[in-house]
Amino acid sequence: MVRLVLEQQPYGMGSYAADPAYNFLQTYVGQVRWGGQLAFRYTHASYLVADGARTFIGSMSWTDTGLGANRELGLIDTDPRVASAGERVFNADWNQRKLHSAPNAVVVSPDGARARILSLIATAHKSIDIYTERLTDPAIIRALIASHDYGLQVRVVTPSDASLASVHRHHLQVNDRSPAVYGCQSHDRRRQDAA
Amino acid sequence: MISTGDFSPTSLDHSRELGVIVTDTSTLKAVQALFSRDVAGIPAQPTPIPSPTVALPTPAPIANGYTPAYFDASRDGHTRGHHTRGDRDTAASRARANRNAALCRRDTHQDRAADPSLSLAYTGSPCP
Repeated sequence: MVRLVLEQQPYGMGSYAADPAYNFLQTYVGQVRWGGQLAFRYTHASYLVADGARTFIGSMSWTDTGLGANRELGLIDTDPRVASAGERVFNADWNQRKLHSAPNAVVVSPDGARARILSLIATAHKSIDIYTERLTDPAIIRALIASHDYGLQVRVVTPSDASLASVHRHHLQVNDRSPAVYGCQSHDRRRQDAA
Repeated sequence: MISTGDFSPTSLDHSRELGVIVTDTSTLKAVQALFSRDVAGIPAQPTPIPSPTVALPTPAPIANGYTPAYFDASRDGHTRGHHTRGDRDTAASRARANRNAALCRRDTHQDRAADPSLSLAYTGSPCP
């Protein structure tokens, strides 16, 4: 049995972007549904649970760009608690039900992820390294600044202008020149300007 | 933490995202090594996209009247950091389908490799 939940309007675009994938998968897989009608707006999660036992969770969309050009990171987890938690979230979304309490084995947005991230930052002792496409959440930026002021090394790799503005303002170490960040127009433009 | 989300209010408050907190030492070392390479500016090697090898059954016509030759994954409009706009109307979609059909008739892997927008092909199906 293969089931898929897709985002119908990725990042506010029209369904013209996702309809071909939906039609293709409906033809060959059959069980495809649009996600995100009740508790959240966008289905941005990209994860897979196989046999209720193995879980892939990754930052990448399953596109040429996500799989072949961007810096993305994923993990294949064999912990059955993670698989069970992933299936619980999936089943809630598949059935368009709200997730009343997020399982502890995973970090779930919009169901408590910010608190889990803040806790992770607060319990770091030496350093915090971050890859992120966007770092614009005020609470998380404040927590990183507090960690930096406390003496921790805080490093961020991000392609986002908004993120750069936020972290530069607070003197966190940022690498916006990483050639590993492909496909980022702001990054390319900055390199061109420098040249 | 490895997650599908980023650190923005949209991701944290309005999107379904999933992450996992990793404590396995070998995984953490691998991630740290990658991070250090990127911070140092050491070029990464993009992963080559494999040629399609799986033959699928003949596709059925879909609702808008044509039989798709390819699913055009990179036309999702999502590029890192910026989101481009895709085709908004059916005419553009049909034009793309016609282009894909023409490529299908040429039907060589070289053609597909030359156009990175074509990522998944119905290699076992007749051309539309």
